[in-house]
Amino acid sequence: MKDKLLKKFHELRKHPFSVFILFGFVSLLIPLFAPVIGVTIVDALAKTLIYYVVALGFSLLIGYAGLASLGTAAFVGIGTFSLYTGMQVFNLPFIVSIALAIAIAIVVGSIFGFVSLRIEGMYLAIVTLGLSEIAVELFKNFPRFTGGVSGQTFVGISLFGLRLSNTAVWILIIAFVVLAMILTYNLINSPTGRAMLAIKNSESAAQAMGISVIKYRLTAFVVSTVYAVIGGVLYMSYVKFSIGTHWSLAISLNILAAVVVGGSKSIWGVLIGTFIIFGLDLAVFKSIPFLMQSQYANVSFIISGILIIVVMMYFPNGIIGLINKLIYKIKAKRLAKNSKVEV
Amino acid sequence: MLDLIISGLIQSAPLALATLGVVLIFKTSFTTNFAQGIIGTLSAYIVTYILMPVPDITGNVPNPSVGEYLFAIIVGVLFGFVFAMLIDILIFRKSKGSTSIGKQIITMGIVLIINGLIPTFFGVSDRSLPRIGAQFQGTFLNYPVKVIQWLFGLLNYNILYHQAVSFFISLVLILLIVLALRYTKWGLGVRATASNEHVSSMLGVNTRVITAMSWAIAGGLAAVSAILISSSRGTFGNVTTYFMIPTQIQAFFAAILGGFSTFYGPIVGIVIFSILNSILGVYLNPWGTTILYLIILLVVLFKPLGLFGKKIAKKV
Amino acid sequence: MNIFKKYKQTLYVRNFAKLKRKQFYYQEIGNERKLNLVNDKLEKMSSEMVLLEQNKELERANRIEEIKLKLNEDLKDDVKERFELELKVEEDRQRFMKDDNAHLMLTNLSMQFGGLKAVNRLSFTVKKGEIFGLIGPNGAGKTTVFNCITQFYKPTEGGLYYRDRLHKNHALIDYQTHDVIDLGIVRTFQNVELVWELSVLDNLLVGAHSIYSSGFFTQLLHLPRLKKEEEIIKKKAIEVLTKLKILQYKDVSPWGLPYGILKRIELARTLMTNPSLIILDEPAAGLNETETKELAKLIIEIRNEFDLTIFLVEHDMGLVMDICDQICAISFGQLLAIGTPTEIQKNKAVQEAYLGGE
Repeated sequence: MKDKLLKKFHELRKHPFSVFILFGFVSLLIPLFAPVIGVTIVDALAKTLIYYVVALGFSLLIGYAGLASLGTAAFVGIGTFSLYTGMQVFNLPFIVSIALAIAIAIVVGSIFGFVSLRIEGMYLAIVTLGLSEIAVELFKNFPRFTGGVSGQTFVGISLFGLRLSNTAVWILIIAFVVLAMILTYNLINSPTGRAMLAIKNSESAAQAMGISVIKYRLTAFVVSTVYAVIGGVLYMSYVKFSIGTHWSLAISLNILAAVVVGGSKSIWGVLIGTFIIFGLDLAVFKSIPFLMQSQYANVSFIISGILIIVVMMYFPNGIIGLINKLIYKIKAKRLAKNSKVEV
Repeated sequence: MLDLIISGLIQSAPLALATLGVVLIFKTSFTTNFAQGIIGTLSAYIVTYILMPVPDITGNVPNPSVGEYLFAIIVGVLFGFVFAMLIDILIFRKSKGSTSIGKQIITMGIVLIINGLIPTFFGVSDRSLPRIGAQFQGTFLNYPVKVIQWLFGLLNYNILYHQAVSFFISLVLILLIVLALRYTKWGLGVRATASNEHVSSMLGVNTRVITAMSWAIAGGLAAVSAILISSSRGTFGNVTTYFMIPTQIQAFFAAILGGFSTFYGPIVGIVIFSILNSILGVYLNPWGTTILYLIILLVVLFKPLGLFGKKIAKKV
Repeated sequence: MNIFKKYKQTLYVRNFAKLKRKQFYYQEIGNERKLNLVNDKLEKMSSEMVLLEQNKELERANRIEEIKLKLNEDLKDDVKERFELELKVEEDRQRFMKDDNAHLMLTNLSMQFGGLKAVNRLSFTVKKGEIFGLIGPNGAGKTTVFNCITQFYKPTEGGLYYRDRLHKNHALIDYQTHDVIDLGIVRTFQNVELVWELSVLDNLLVGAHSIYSSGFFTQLLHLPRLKKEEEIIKKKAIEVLTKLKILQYKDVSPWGLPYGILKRIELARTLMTNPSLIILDEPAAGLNETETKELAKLIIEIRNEFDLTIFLVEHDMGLVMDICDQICAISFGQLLAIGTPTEIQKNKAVQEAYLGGE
């Protein structure tokens, strides 16, 4: 009996999910350290993790499907306002509001997906940029759902009648992060993920193998839009404020940076990238009051931009690619050393 | 209605400069340059810096003499010229292996960098670029501008002095570039590289110089475009980090509409765009531009390569 | 009306393919109950299809009568030509249906790109189990021909008929590019189109994409069904890799492997779906003499072992003369000659097209 349990334990230990769940548990403990590391750092971590969910979705789009879209920020914005509209305007319960947000995500994602079918890769970025600017216009002009030009505050989510504290929202965020990691892992290691890569490499070869380009492009867009919208829902739950003009090109570019710099095809890579691009900015430049108001507030943009360029030019696999190479070298050396000893 | 069409036409001129810059880079580096607008913005910031290093928040706009103004503008344009060329030499020359999307992402990185640089060097307040126009009344520029004003007068349109100056400068620049493309060695090189880079370089076309020059000219065009556009939008606080974003999007959409395959396509595209924008802006306020974008998207769905696009069939 | 019909037909084809996938899955895991359910559904569909086919036959017969009548009238030349073409195609189709040995037939196939007629009234029949070669000088239209077969292009004129493993006849024109593989037709690419970002094993799994019956949510949640399917297909991939003697590469990326090995991997990929017709696109391109001889041996081996028909488009005369049972030579999109290798070698027109007269 004990042997069986032990075996099962070792099996689970090797399973990739276990690392994600472990990560989740460790992250859950972070708010406990708030007195030590400071509330601003915890706050920055929360926002970074929220952006991580969005970035994971985007990594599916750009790393696997090869589609460069600049509409991500608009989708997150849609998520924030969907939550507000669902809970505060229509007084729907939390779960229903999320369902509403996901439904909107599916519709909007499908539209973008259909558009992407007619427009070649390079022009897609431009078109999605245009569509996202249209979205920002729409945000401005429907104040009932979006607070118009001055943004909208949100009262906070309540489950079963109880208003959730920030700590409770933190748990919610972690839950979604782990879920996002698991689902992304599943998709990557499934026929769908492989089909997307096949299309990215050669559309005609993919079609010859029975892969419908339409179906998988749409899937890629819808999935990534849902991730972004969930990110928006989490954002609104935590920050409790959202203004339409915030969700524009700069955020989309930063998400792009996070994914590209970290490693567009790796779950951990995107985490690293998000921490570098958003975490640094939020923890340092946007929280220290002296820096926040000064002209140095946007220095993080400079760093992000330089990182993008350096990575694209020299390390297309992102930082995780570098780390993997390093690990590989260390393992190879160790193997060589061991075999020498045996001889 | 005629008034709206004419005003659209006038507005299209500086936009056409930006569009031309985008197409130029597309043809030689095979990527869409997202940094076009921001390079122009940076140049405009430099012009305002020269005219008034510390912006006056009480609302005073710099009032330079002709000489000072010309100097500032020339420095700004030169800056755009050199800056863009450096981008090509330092970055794109070493990125020949990247895919077009990869290069696009690099231009997005440049956008981020410049967006961070501007407040760091120039502070957070908006700056002001004085209206171009009245200062030149005493100079030789007065003559062609008066002619333009008279021409528009024939169509019963009262074109303002600064609009005429802007229109004239844009037209001259567009004409110069079109002529350069047709008759100079550089122009020939651009067209050759655009149609087949490998073969061109094998035939002795110095693609590196051509590309660098194209970027430089695109940078200069971006600067001129930014200066003209900002100076036509009111006077105080008309230079911000984001004032060129709508222009850039419009330039891209016009290029998509006209098709990236030709040089004239995007120019025609921007003219059509501006005219329609001007008309819809009045009749469908405030949704005019939005609806226009949607219309262009619809057109592109049916003609993915633009109105004048030509498809190059790929061998399977 | 026509569009609706076509859409209905595509839906039909897809549902049939879906059921077949489920049949394969339940068969492999031995779930008798569900297998029987699926088999019943398939039978129902088949009998429905038989009825539809009968209706179609009636329609076609009527149309033929119509055309025959119309031909008696006084018509413009091009209209007359079109009708006569339809009659010829129909005649050939009848012949195809009665020919038990036929696997694939082209009749009066033409492909026009704007003003250029890349393929002009090409007709030939590929017999079951044979190795058929299509040769011709550069630009003769070989690639266009097989892009038409795989429905990457829709031919402008003529007919394409194919018989699948269940002895059902199909007009290939009714199918879309990504549905063709469900009929059992696969192809390789001249510029090896493998996915460099995946391992060789994963590349083979992509090749088996059309066999997976797991839906999107099954994949999203990695439900047990997906896990079982992955096991089944991984096992098959390893079998195929072993047969083609490239098992040692299964976990590496194809990037940097020798060209000959890459071609084998592509071939292995095509075998994943139990095809009945494999189209090889210039398989000997870039190979030296020894490698080409090995390739020839390999092709014959897999033809025999997997009960395949091989359609070969090739430039390399050595390979073609060596292994083909039948050869069709084309030039400028038109048929030059068709016959056994010896006959083709002796054919004057072929010699001219290849060697002289430029």
